Amino acid sequence: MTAPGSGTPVAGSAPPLLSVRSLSVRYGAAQALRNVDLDVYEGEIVTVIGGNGAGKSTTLKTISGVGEMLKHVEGSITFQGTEIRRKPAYRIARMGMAHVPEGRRVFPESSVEENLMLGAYRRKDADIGADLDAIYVRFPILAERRHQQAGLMSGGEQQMLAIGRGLMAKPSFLLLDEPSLGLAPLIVEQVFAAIRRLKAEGLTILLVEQLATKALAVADRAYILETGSVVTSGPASELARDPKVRAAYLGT
Amino acid sequence: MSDVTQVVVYTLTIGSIYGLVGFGYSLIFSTTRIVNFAQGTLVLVGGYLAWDLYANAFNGNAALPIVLILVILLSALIGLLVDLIGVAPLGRFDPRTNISWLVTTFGLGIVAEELVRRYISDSSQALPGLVKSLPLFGRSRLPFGVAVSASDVLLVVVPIVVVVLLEVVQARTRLGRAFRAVAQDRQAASLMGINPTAMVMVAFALAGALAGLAGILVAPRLNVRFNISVTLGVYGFIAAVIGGLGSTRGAMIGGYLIAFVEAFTGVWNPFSSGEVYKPIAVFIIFIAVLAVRPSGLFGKKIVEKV
Repeated sequence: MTAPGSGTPVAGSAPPLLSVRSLSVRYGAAQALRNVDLDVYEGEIVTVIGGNGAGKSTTLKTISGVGEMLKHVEGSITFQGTEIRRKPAYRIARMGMAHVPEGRRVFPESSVEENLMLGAYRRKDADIGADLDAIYVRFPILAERRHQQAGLMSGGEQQMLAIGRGLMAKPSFLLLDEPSLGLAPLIVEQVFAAIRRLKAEGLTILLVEQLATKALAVADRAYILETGSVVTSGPASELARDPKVRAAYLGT
Repeated sequence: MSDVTQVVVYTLTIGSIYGLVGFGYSLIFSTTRIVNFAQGTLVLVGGYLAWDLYANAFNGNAALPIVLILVILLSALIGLLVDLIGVAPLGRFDPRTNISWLVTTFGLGIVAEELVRRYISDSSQALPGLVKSLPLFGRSRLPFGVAVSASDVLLVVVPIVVVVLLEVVQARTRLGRAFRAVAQDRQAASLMGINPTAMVMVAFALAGALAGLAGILVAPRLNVRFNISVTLGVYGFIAAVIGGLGSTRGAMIGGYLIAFVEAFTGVWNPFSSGEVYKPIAVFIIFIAVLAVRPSGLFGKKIVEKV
């Protein structure tokens, strides 16, 4: 097991796609993150696991620039070699980072297709139509429901839509926040199957997940957060075998 | 004019103006969740700007449509200023708990009104109708003895055309899609690469333009005067709330509803003078609608996100 923040690069000596250094976040007086270091290299899936309130979602939101009231951020976040800590979310999104937020956050009054097209908002290329078709092949349920109002769909369908919407941005980096939250086991399987497929296609993913076993199974490397600090990090397969990790997070 | 036609004409003309002003409230509310209390004043400012340009700057020589375009552009700019001076500097805030916007928008309304009083005019002014006659309405009398002026026709038709046009823009264009995304979920919209701040600016500018248009359209009927900022401001707001803040059509229908209630009360009531009872009737209907449907006739239920 390696020290926090010094995970082994998978993609040789290339600089990380995302690099987080001494990131601290406060909400008013409450410290949400403390000195978090985290790297994501191109082509890998990195997962952040930890209990409720450990700071997993805060980590993702801070990376993607989602502003929240009373949020105070220190440290540095570089994406594709550019410092993005002070950039607003919409600028970071336009750089090619797609954040699929916790709770899905689909546009409830818009149709499935409108939601997907909003995912492609930042793009101006000619492949949008082809990519839309590809999403419908990837998630056939969305093709069936393409004209339905997104807010009326089931949680699982909304999750597929949220991921599809993220993919429509043609991202170089995908952030997934608790994609299994509130879903039935069968649907969770489908979501993780979708993630495995994206991995096979070479997409770089940062996954925040409460289902640690599943997250570790799909990820290359993992960080474990506890009350806002990284307590352990390393290759996902090693962490999955670690007795302490197993006791604390895998329920065995 | 018979009582019935009087009620119909009042409902269609004044109602559509209430709706147009209400639509402005709705646009701003849907993107920011705040109510712009300067909206009524912007109607007054539009009217006086039109009168000043027409009567003083151009000495009555300019075609009114040119004045109209200038006033709409200026009003859009003034609407934008309300955002830039009164709302944007408040920063990121929760409009439900931090209500500074109430003071800033209301205050800017007062400032604008006093600027008009000081630099343009402090008395009621008349502005001629945009057109003297319309081809179809050359005769001022329609069947059933209804007297209709060309400016009354504009008063009915223009707001409907504008509202339909804006609905089409919202449904069909990239800008419209971005606008609706921000209205539904500001944070999720920013994750799509949409700049929410820019969309809020668009909403304020559009609402300003609508107020300016309302000021010109209504001038031939009510003249340009100071108390319309309260009348149209308050009734436009009620129209938007009755229709459901955030709903385009709702604001128009709310406008027709309260204009109808006003006209009806003015004509058929057991008391000698209907004028006094009009606002009472309007507020009774306002409260009744909200008691039955708290989010308005066409409003969506506001679901609290956890």
